Amino acid sequence: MEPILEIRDLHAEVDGHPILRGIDLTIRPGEVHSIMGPNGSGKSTLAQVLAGRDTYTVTQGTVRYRGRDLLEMAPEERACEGLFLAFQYPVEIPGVNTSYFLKAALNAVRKHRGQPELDAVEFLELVRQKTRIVQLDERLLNRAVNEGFSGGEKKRNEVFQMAVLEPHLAILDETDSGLDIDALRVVADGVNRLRSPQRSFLVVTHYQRLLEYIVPDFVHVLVGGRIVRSGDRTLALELEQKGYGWLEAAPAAAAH
Amino acid sequence: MTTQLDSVAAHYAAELDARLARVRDPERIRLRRAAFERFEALGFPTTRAEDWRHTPLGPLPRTAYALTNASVLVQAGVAPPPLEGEVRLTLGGGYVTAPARVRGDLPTGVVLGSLAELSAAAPDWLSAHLARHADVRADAFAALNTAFLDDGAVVYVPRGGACAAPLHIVHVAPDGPTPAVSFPRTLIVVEAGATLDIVEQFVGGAGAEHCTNAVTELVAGPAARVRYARLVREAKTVHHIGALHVALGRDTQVSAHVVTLGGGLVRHNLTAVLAEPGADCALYGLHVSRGTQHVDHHLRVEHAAPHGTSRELIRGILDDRAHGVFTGRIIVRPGAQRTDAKQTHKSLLLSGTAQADSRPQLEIYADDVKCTHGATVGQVDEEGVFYLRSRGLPADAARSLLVYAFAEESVASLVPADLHDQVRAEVLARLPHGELLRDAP
Repeated sequence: MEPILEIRDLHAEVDGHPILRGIDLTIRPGEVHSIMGPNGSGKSTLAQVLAGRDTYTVTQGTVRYRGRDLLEMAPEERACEGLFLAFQYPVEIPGVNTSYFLKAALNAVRKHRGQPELDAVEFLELVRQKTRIVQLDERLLNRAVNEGFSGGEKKRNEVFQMAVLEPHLAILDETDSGLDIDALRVVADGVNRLRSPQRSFLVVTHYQRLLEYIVPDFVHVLVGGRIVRSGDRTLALELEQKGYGWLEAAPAAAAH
Repeated sequence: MTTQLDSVAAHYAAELDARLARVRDPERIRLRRAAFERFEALGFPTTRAEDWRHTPLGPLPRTAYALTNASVLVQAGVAPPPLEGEVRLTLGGGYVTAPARVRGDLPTGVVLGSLAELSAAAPDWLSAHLARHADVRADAFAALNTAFLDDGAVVYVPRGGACAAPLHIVHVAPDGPTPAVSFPRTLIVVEAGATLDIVEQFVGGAGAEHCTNAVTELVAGPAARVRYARLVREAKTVHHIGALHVALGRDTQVSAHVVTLGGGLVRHNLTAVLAEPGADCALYGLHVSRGTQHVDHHLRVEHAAPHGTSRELIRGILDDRAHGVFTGRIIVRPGAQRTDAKQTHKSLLLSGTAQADSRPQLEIYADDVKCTHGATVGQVDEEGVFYLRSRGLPADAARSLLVYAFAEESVASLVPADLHDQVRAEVLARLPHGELLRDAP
């Protein structure tokens, strides 16, 4: 099967400081990959670079996404092509109504795909259906994007947007951080309901806890900007027991 | 220079003499003469005056403007679209030209009409309110406006009255090739327990560097509720110096929106006096400026009685070489305990050459009060832009949406709804790539 994402020797830096130092990763349709690693290892940088954040400079390597050069694409084009990033810190946008924002986003994506734009009634119907996936309070849709939302509401809103936009590849950047166990279950359940043979996930997390609910096919450990070890879900359990220390000392070659 | 200014003053003096020769009421003549003397004593302010430090008047003090009279033609093209259910009064160059200028049906007891006519019909009533609130003593522009108070608009809502129809006063500035000055004047009196929604718009003024020197006095009695909106949509060459003075009684609620979408040099002198306990005043300002526009909001909110609440929220969006100035003075008089006053000024700069100055000034003489102020100057939030783009919105649309949202927050409570819609559309039209957001809420 054609990979959905193929990262080769990816290097990236911010303000001249190298953060990613040669990432290799291949994700095929339907697979769930998890990236784990200590703070500062480059997990969020990888997520942001894939979504097109321009504060990071890619200095080396290639990323192919569904057969195209991802790094050539503007962030909005990546979104329209079905790449979705659930933010670690969803941005508050005062004055922009959530429902309007989502409709504009959905119609931009649909237009790009050659689908007709949804009218107000169709949109409302779709939204109703999708809010149930993450048990999002519909009233939040009439408020400004993420403004005054609790931590849990913000994360649910991310997964809700993902459900509406129906991406091919969803990147979840520490979606579990700041969630209590009940909210975590709801969010994870929402993600699981979106799993399909075509849709792939890259789940970035610091803790093994999330992976009890979103069971990954592959686990990769990122240390110092490199993947130092890859395995199946048992690797996550091993990390839970041993911490990251034993890998920080390990040579990068162990990744392959 | 001095001779030039003297000749300008002589020009105004001669014009005043000619006008006062036609006025019969000695009281009115006394008022206008006294105001002119104040103007002569004060002279036009310069940037050496603290209150005008950031707002140079350019050629205004040196220009012997032609004075408008009742013959100013109101061009059909400049009239703003009607608001649902409105009653409209149109003035050209500050004059109501009877009889056809009031359109719509007024509720019983409510007055909307010409100051000159009312001056003849009820001189004592008028004297009790007119020029009692504008600062004729210290403000040269208010003094000059008062000296040339031939006509204007007057609004009256009697005790307990509810004016369901929005009142809409349209001031049309003169156009044509000769620089002209007009002195629009408005008096709004809302008695105890009455309610009113009122809109005042300033339009026209194409063709030359005209000057509008406008004064509005809004007097709201105990427990009255007034929602006022003031829109400056004049041509970009107009020098607009406008004053709004709000006097609030016990438990009175007044909100005022001041929206600036036109004019070249615009100065708003906004004053609110909370003279009795429990008054609640909210002042909102929004300007969307570009080119070399200069927009100055000069606010003075005076808490003279306990338990008063005031909110000031002024926002500016500045592109090109536009300049925004804000001075916000909150004065809490001795004994005005439990005052709750809050002031915010935010500027969004869309270009590297736009400029914003912000000067909050608190004078507090009571000890049990809550007074806060905050000012920010910044650019479009790039985190926000990326977030929107990561959901599929094109970069230009994302940026415009954030700018629009910034504006929208300061007009969220603007009424009537159809005026709000018009302002939205006009804000969008003035933003780069605003057309991408045509269906924005």
